[in-house]
Formats: sequence, C-alpha cells, structure tokens
Amino acid sequence: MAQVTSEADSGTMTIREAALRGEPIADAFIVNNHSHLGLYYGFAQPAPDADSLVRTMDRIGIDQTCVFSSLAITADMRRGNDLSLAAARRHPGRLLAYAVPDPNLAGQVRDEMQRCIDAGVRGIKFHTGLHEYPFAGPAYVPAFELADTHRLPLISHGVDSPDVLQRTARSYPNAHFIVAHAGAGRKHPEMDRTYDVALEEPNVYLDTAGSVAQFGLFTQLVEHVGAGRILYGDDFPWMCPTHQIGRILLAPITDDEKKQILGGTMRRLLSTRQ
Amino acid sequence: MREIPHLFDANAFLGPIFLRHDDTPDDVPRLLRLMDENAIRRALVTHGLAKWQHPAVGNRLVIEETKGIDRLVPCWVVMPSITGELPPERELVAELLESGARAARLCTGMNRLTLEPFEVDALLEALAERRVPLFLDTNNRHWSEERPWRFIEWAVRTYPTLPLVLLREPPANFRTLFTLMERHANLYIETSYFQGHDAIAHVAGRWGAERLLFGTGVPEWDPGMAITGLTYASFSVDERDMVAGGSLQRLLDNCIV
Repeated sequence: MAQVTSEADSGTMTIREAALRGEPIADAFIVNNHSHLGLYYGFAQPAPDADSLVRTMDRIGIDQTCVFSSLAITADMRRGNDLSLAAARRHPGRLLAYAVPDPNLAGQVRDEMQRCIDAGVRGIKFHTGLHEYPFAGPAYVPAFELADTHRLPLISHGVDSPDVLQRTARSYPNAHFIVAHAGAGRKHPEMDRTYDVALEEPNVYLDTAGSVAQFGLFTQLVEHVGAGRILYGDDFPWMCPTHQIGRILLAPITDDEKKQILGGTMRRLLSTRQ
Repeated sequence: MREIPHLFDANAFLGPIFLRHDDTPDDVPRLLRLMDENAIRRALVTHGLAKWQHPAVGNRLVIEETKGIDRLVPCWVVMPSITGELPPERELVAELLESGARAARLCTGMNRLTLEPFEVDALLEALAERRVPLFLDTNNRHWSEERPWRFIEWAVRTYPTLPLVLLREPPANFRTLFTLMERHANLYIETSYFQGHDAIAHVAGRWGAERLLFGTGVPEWDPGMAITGLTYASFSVDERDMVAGGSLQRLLDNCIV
C-alpha cells in the first residue's frame, strides 16, 4: 500500500489534515466530473439546486463541477439540457454544463447535441441504464462524432462491455471517454477487463462517483491503473460531495496522486475543446 | 481554524470479517492503527466472528480482546433465545452489561430473522428495560435495497425506551425515514452511508444532532467518506461534535447498569 506523505500542503496543512478539520482544500484545483441537478421523482434529494451545490463546493474547496440535470437523463432531454445550461450561466466558471442525448429520440439527437455545443456545453453525458439503450447503439453515433470533432469529455453510465468501450475509444480517438462509477474500486482489479482498457487506451478514464466504498479497494485501484486514469466525481445530489470526496482526501496515497485525481487530469481534458 | 473532532465510531468490527483482503485489519493492533490513521479516537466494536460465525463465539472474544483498551467499547450481537443458542433474553442482556458491553447489534439477514414481533418481542423488551441501544444491521450494501420499515416502526412505537439505531442508513429513503424521525424520538441514524446532499445537517437541524451517530463500518467499509461527510457538513461545530461522538456517548451512558 502507498505511503501517506505530508509533503504537499494546503496552506500549512496536508490534504488529509484539511479534510479531518473540515477546512476547504486550498492547494488543489478540484473538478467534480459527475454531477446532476434538479428534482428527481425516485427519491427525495435535499437542496438539489445549483446555488446549494455551489455552497457545498465552497465548503469543501471544489473549484468546478460538470453538471447534467436529472431531467435530462430521464424524461426530457431538451428541457433538461436547458436546466444545465442555465445553471452554468448562473455560476460562470464554477458549473460546466454537459449535453445529454436521449437515444430514444434518435431523430433529434444530432440537432440537440449541436444546439448544446453552440450554447457552450463542455462535455456529453450518456445514461444507458435509465434510457434503456446500448452504448453501441446507432442513436448515439452523432454524439460520439461531435465529442470527437470538438475534443470533449464523454461520460457514460454503462458502456455495454469492455470490448465495446475499447472499440469505441479507438473509433473516436479525440474524445475523452469516462466510465461512470468505475473508479471507486472493485475487488480483484487485475481480473477486471475494464481496467485493462483504461490502461491500454490513452483516452479512457474512470470516474470515482459511487455510493459503495469497500475498505481499501480505491487504493488498490490507484495502485493498479495509476492516479492519472481516475477522475473525481460525486453524483450530486444523488450522493453528497462531502461524503464522496472523502474516498480520495483520506486515502493512503500521496498528495500528488490526490491532486491528479481531484482535478489535475480533468482540467486538462476540459481544456482541449475546439 | 477548526479542530479535528473527537471521533467515536459507532459502527466498527474487530477481528476477522468475511471476504476481507490482505490490507483489511483483522486484529486489535491493526484496527487501532487504522483508527489512528483516520483520527478515530474511540470505537464501538462488534467482533467479526459474532456476525460471521456465531454470537456465542464473537461476544466472548470481543470482551477478551478489548480488555484494558479504553478506546474500544464492546458491542454484542443478540438473537432470540428459543433455540438455546444464547441465554434467555433477560439473562443475555444482564450478561451483556456485566461484561462491560454497552450496546447490542441485531444482524437480521445474516441470522435469518424475520423480524416478526412474535420472534423478537422478548429480546426487544429485555433491551428496552435496560435501555441498551440496539443497532440494526441488515447487511445492506447499496441504497436501492429494501429496508424493514414495518419492523422499525413497530419497534420504536412499542418500545419507546429502546434506542434503535439504523446502521448504514442509505440516502434513498427519506420519505419513509423522516416520517418515523418525526414521530419517534428513540430512532437514530448512523451516518456512514447517509449520503443525501447535506442530509446530515438537514436532520440535525430538524430533529437535533443527538439523533445522528457518526460511524464508519470499518474495516468492511472505507472510513474516508464517513469522516468527510461529517467534517464538511453545513452545521455548527457544536452539532458536529455531538454527531462525532456525543450522541453515542449519551446512549451508552443511559444504559441501566
């Protein structure tokens, strides 16, 4: 297991010490790559609005959050994408809107993605589970093409299989593929083909958002794939950033590794947009 | 600058747990080292073999292995006595308190309990008489799993002197949970999995910080998320400190020894 270091500090504190005290992390640029917004039918989510999210970000020291509204991944792609864009306009530089395609409305996907790109979205989100549609299905092709053309991050909840992920990543080499919920750690990472793909493909990354956190597995994943393949995500407001970020802040890894995961890598992926 | 809170973990295991890996602490020195690494000062500990072998074994071990270690407070796993596996309920609770334990854990799924009143009423009555807090362990992993709400409602309504603590309460049940929090002051939440957005501060503001108990689930679960869920919650330092350990200490002190 990696040694805990006290080399990097936030002010006079290590990241660990700041987290234990509940002080904002000041010495790392933190980007949450996975967040929703707004009301959701399935269960009560306290304070799911953009202003509340930014207040929580301020308490922790999160600089930026990528947002895709819960409405966009459920019943209404266009209204939902407008909610994400409005949140980004209300909090410029703090909230970064993503576009969500609804593959069940296949005839509208290309125009909706282009509309959102013209409006300034910074990435694309798929939810293959809620939309009940395969990652490799043809309705997603316009979104893949636009992500490739504009060099955008594309985060997907569900990628069909590691082989499909690998084929897709090779077909669209300028897009940055992020596998939602795969970066929280799993048992026996050396046996998991998804992690092989993240190691083999330079444009595949793993997102840490996930409610379940078995002891030690996140650290094992960092050792297996390296901190540079893992991106912080918290799934607000389905989960709370205050909990989710603790997986990284208090992990027995170095502060340099924490900084890469917390935002160093994601900041670079967001900077390639054309 | 805020001080590091005095963390008193309401949900920890001592000794071997099932499906652990090489890095999992499985004895007292390794557990104490893990606690030190995470600034956890004290822990209420159940023995892993009380859950994953049998309470008759693990309850004895947790007393032996925590002897002389003030940082570790033992918690027993309890079951109905009808099979003769454990002593009759009132004797069991008396032995629990005499041993130095100050809490009980009910492992519902692991021990194949139905939680029907006819099955567990004598046990809950004996615990309620001595105000021994009962920690409900359904062995849940994910927020989408069903919770035994009918049992929970019946238990807190029927035994108002029984503190019932929901371990690893998930963030997806607020419509049900909050109804019971409003109606029953003897219902408590352990916070390790309570990940709804700012939900810890929301509950503290509405029903009082003493209704929340900081817990981690170590060494089965990662302590980091539980700790920052507390330290970054949007409540006062006094509320934070109550959740960090004050509320658990109150319950333990309230046992009729």
